[in-house]
Amino acid sequence: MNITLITVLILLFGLLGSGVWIAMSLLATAGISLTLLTSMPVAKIWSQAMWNSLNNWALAALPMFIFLGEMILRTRMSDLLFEGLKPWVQFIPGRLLHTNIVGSAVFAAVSGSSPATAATIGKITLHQLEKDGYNKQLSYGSLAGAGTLGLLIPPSIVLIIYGVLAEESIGQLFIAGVIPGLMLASLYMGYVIVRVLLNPGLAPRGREQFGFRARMISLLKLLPVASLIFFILGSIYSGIATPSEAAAVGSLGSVIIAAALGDLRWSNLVEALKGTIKTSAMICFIIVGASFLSVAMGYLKPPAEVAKFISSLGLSPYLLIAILTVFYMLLGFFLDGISMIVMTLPITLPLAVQSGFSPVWFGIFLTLVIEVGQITPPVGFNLFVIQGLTGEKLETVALAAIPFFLLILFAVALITIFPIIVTILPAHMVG
Amino acid sequence: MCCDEHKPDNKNVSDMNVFFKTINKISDLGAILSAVVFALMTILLLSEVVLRTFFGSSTEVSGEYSGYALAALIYLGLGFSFREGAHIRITFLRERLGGTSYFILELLCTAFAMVLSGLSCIFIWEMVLTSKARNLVAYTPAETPLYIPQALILVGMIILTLQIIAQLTALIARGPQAVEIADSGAED
Repeated sequence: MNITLITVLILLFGLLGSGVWIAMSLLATAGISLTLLTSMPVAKIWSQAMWNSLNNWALAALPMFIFLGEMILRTRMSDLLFEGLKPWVQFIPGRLLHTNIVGSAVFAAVSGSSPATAATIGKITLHQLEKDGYNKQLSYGSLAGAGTLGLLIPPSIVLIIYGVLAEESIGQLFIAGVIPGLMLASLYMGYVIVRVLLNPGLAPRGREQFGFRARMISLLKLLPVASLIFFILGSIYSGIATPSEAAAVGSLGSVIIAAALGDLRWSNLVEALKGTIKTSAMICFIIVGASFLSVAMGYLKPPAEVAKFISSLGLSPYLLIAILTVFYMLLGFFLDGISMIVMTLPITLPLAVQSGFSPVWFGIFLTLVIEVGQITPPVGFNLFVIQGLTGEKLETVALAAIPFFLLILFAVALITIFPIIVTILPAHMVG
Repeated sequence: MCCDEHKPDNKNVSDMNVFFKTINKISDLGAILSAVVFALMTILLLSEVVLRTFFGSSTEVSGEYSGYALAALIYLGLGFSFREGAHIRITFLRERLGGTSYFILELLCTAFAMVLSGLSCIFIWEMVLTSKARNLVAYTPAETPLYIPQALILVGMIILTLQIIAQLTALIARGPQAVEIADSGAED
């Protein structure tokens, strides 16, 4: 540990801990450390960082994907998704509990945010599940866990930010998240099935009957979201559009579909835009602060030294990943996922690459460990969302989420042992 | 927090209300501009896809201008999102403090944010002046003068600074009971 590193850490955690807004804490840490420890022209670096960090076409995808999610949340598209899935989960033990998971996985394919996924799906499912007498623990836990699919299944806000910082193709990262996301969803479903088979009392008896006609109608109800997914992922995977352009196509699509459903009102649109501006401004201002901090770190050099120190230990790749997993879990107790990525990436990415992991693989790994933070207190946004929807105590929701938290860790182990789960699709991508 | 709910407790109340209302209006205007830029950015990217896919042509500027648009829409929305409590912070310590010490901490945090935001305005202003004086242009076919998009982020930072000043004023005017309503929520 040297003086520079200690100064930076004290400033950063002092400011964050006192309750200064995260973005402001990052800006201030960078500005103050540069002033104290170097003779660089701080004002100039400061303003350039504020400008360069957001003058970025790849980041333009972020507000558009947020808007898309907002539109689905605020129109009938979200209800249609639930109704459309209902007939198809009747034969799986745990029945409607799976609408939490499958609904989240489907919504995740048009939304890039984990709390947005939990909020949109939970708004429709939780009430229904409680009314029908499903076990609360499983219902809250599966929603908290499934919400995290929002980050893993493309599009993903976290992967956009990772791609920008690591200078990796966002299209490749998106496609790399597909199989791990589906795998995690299957793990969740498997867990629910096992629990319900062991203890049938967790789900109500009997099943709703759906005839052929009802099933066909249910498919029609899935059409709006399915067509959005098709256009967004299809255009990225086939190389027709960049992720930003696909986001624009999706945004327009969501407005057209809302209009077709007779649900495009001025009030919907204004609320969706307000939500978009608030969320995007919050996330992007953190990116501004973090970019300035990482520029400052470049001048101060501690990340390079820390990285050199860790690589001098000669850890095996698996041990390194295990240590990083624990490190991010601990960090996740205090910070949100985006702040975690932007603050640590300059140190951890070179380490991972040196140990033989590809940057695309590391992006998916980071997304998974960040998801752990989304469902552990005290800063687990998915838990807040479910708490807000149900009025339950945070402890109740957090306890319900524990099995799903363990399943994410299991998924981390799987992709570490079998990296091909992540790398196979991007290797076959066009463009 | 919303400054309209400000309680009448002295004779300067009407002046104060005008002050808060004006700043709220400015932040709202910023948010409206932000939404307009968002719409323009989406249209620009859509035109690019359509031109390239169906006409084998290009807008030539969609990459460059969507970058400017993103920067502009985020900075212009900062004041509004700050007022709405969208910016996240760690509430661990604040939740454990009661009454006066909570108030003092909140006052310090807000004052600190004001100084940072104000400094950012000055630094960006200097950057805009430099860009203008040296005729800096983007390294693109469009050769856009950089001071134009940079001026937009300056406007956004000024709006944020005004909004923080309003929040600080409201805190001071209301005293320790203000923090109960001035608490900001956390959302992603």
